[in-house]
Amino acid sequence: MEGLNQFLFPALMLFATGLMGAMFKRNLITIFMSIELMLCGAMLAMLAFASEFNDMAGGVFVFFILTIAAAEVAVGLAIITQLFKVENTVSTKGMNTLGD
Amino acid sequence: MDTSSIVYGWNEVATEAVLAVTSVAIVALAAVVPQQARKWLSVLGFAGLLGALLVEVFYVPESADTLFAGLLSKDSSFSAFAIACAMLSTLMGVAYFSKGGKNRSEFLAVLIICTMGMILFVRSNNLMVAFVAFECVTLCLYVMAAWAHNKSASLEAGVKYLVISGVSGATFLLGIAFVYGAGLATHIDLLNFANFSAGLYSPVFRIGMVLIAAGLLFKIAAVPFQFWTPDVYQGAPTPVTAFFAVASKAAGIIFLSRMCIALGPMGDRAEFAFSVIAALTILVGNLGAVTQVNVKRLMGFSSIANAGYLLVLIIAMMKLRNVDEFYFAVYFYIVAYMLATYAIFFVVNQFEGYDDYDQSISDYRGLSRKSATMTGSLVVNLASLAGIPPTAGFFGKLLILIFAWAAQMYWLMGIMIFGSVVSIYYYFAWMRAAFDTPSGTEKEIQPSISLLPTMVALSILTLVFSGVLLKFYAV
Repeated sequence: MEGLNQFLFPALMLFATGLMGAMFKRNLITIFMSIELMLCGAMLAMLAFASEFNDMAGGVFVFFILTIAAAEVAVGLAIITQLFKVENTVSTKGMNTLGD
Repeated sequence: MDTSSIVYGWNEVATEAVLAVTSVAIVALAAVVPQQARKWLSVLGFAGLLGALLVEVFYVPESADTLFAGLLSKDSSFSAFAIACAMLSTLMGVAYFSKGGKNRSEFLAVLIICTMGMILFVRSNNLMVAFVAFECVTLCLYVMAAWAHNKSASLEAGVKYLVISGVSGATFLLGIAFVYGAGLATHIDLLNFANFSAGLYSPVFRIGMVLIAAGLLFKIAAVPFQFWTPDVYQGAPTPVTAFFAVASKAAGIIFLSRMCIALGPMGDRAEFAFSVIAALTILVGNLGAVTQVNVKRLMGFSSIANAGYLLVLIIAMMKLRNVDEFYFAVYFYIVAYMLATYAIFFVVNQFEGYDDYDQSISDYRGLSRKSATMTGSLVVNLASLAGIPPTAGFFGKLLILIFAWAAQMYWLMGIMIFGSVVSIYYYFAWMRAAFDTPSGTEKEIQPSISLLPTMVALSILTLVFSGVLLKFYAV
């Protein structure tokens, strides 16, 4: 269990850091990086469990998650780039087109 | 694992295969066919959806409980439901793209692959498959929400959904990691739903379940994760908004209920938390809608309220453990909701401009003098959402109330009735606007005649759909 905690603790720290960044940052690129950080935290937790109990499934799953995260980056950055073209900013401050 | 015992059953994923092949074929053909022939690609897309529906109804056999070594469960009625939603969104897209939307064939490809992901998500019997399918759906939904990519409203909706569902996806994933870890600690494969009720009460498993539930509550727009809904619904193109409101929410609800069934008696511990969430969701959805003047935001709040009603149904099922009746009730409710919501969005979509994020209730003044069909559809389907007999929406709510009564959840019933009463206020305000004198500042209607039959058919179905109750409850 000693080894497990050594990996699980940083994993949860990564996740929490990402969550804080996603909630309180104003720049969309930073928010997006924070979300990737959350995914990394979850992946590390998965790997920590997998290596602690010598199970392959978790390790394999991490590859799937990596692929999904890459696809998410591709789509997300495309949307953010397009937003910059139209609005000339990537800050969430001016985002108030929607609403009453 | 003993590989000889794996049931493959490739013919039972034929529906998904047809959808995937259609989607890839559209993308590949869109690259080579000349511009004038592009419109045939949308015909191909619709044919693919129709083909998938036929395959689903006539070809896919009655299957074993689990396939592919427990990764997928047997097919449910959800496939047909999701494909029907995709077809309605495609039809709505005809009007949307004729008003100036771009890249019609690619839109269909994304919509179809999204439908496939949704079907796999609901069928998944393993949390890994569930996560992959979940992300397949959300990735497509980002793209579709931001489809009008030169309009700031649509882009803003896309970005907001991107951030929110990125966070919810990561939360869902961390939950899966914890459930996985808890299962390994006791040598049970807890990623499989069948093993959830293995009597594991370890805190790691419970934390994992809470995180997974949080990720799903984001998806179905329940309190406290509902704040994205009005904005995204308002900014997204109307066919996509309808898809968000119906298909995406229904997928989340059915998946959540499957997990609750798999949890067995363990789920009782979550009952109080779920009840509070359901009550708050109903109140926030209905009270939030009262002050809205924008029709798409109003539908957003309405969809939050409906998520609350469906949560009440899930809680009642967890108490009563009557799974078959529950599935009938939940499908009845979501089909009634689908008919009403799609018909209303068909009406919304008939107004000018493909970027209709600023359409307000006052634009509907004088509608009754311009188009009787649109007014009729609007009145019937808003009545259904408000729960006025004899529409399908009334019987859907009645079924939920019967369930809640049987499960003795009286205070939740009270909140639900209060919410429905409040909802009559804002639905009827919208209805009344259609009969007001026009002031001349309303948006123009651009009726696309080819879609009127669909609108009328949906409205008639709303009126007669409750007939299936007779068949099910006939003694």
